[in-house]
Amino acid sequence: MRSSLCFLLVGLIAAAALGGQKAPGQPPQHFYNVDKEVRLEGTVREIRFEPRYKDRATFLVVVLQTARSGETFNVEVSPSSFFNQDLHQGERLTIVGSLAGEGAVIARQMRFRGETVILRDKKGFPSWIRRPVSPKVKRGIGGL
Amino acid sequence: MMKAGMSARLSLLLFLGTSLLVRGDSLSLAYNYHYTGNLFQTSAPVPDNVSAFALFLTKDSGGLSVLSDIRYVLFRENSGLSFGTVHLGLEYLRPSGPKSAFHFALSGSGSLFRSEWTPFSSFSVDLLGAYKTYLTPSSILKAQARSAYGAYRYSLFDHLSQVVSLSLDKFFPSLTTLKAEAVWKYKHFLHPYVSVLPEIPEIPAIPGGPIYRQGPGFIPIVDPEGGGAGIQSASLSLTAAQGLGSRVVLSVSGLRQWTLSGGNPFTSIEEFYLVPNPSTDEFSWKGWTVVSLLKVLLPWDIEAQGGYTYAHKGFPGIEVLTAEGEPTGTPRKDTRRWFEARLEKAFPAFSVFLAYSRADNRSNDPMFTWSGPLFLAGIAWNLPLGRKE
Repeated sequence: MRSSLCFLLVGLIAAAALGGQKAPGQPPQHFYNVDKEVRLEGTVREIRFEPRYKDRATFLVVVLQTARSGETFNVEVSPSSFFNQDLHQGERLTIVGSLAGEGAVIARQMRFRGETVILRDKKGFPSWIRRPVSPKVKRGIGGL
Repeated sequence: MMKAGMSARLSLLLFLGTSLLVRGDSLSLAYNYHYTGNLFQTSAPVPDNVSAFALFLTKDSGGLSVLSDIRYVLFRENSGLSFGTVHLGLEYLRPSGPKSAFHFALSGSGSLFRSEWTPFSSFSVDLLGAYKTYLTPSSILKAQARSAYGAYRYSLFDHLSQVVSLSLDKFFPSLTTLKAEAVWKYKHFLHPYVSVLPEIPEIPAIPGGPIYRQGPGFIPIVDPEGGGAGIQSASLSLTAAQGLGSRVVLSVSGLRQWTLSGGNPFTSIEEFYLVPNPSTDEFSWKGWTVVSLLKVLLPWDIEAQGGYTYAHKGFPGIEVLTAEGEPTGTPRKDTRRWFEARLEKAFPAFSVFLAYSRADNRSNDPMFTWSGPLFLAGIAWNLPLGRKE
């Protein structure tokens, strides 16, 4: 019994230690840096669904071409957004996020079709809350 | 009628839901205040002030997410109607190439009502499977199937249900989005009939309501042979949305729902504001709705939204009742006009909203001809608990 508990404890510690590892090939500067925050307005050129971090769900990644300079950025959105938001090529999108390497941006806030979606807090901590799927939850106006 | 073990299942859900706090990734807290001019949505309006508290927790690991949602809804005037719900879910997102993904969800939820409204207490299990794919970069196909089992304290509402949907949308360079969706749904009540009427639980009468409304107005059908009953429906909806610049979106959608077989296995059904009344839901009607919506992004990123809904619904199996509660042979039909306006501002850590709406419901059953306002205000906080990436 005691040995089982020890194994469980060691397992939890190991899982916690490995939890923050980046996926292989991820550049070392790939984290949310508040000092490198930018605001980009542009048009969606491509939509992809790809792994970004070890032990994390696959992320929605949007290739955004800015209206002002014509530059393109790979914008990392969030794991849940692939199913929650129906983005299309050609849609206009405004992003607030952090530069994270050559042509890469980690999005904190996304605005499209008259709606603002908060993905991270001001310091860059993820806050993509997903509500459990239930018909009952949808009842009533106002969400509660 | 009372289900043994329901409290134990609810306690287990509550324990598992709150234990997520230990290893949660993100936490959201919400408080909404509601004022409704007509809580029971009948011709005898009963206003109430409602406070709704909610706590959402998520924990992600790989493609698997654990979600928890705990709520408490407190009615100031009709305090006996106050209820709590616990919802615990597992979701799994499985990529299928760079443009497609499968989504699976398994969840259990429990609702606990107090005192005389305990017949509404329930435990349910939901299973969902969905697939989303980009057919082209500007066109999305979604398919979804959901199965649910619901067990109620008042077992007449026990049911199994299935919903299957398929949607296809297309975005055009003119900032126009067109979407079509087809839905098939079936709900099977396991044992909706009573052998004798006195088995109806005592539920308080609606103040000012007709004599036969000894309770929420729900009247079961007496059938000593018992057995199950189902209602099968299909719907088709079309939505057109038009972006006007980058800050304004106008959308119009129309939905037509047909009842393919069966009907509501009750003599009457009712709809309450904010309370999941098990006698009426998305399965219980046929007819059509038109929804128009205008979204405007104001300065300081304040979202403004105005909507107008027109709905014409019939309820298969439900007839207009006399003041004494006797069926008249005339199928019940309702027409509802619904106006709503909403302002919302999202900050990095929290969001606030204000909303006002007004409903005008006309029915050939005088009991359900009513109109009333609704006022809402709310705040929600997002608190990250996990690591920074």
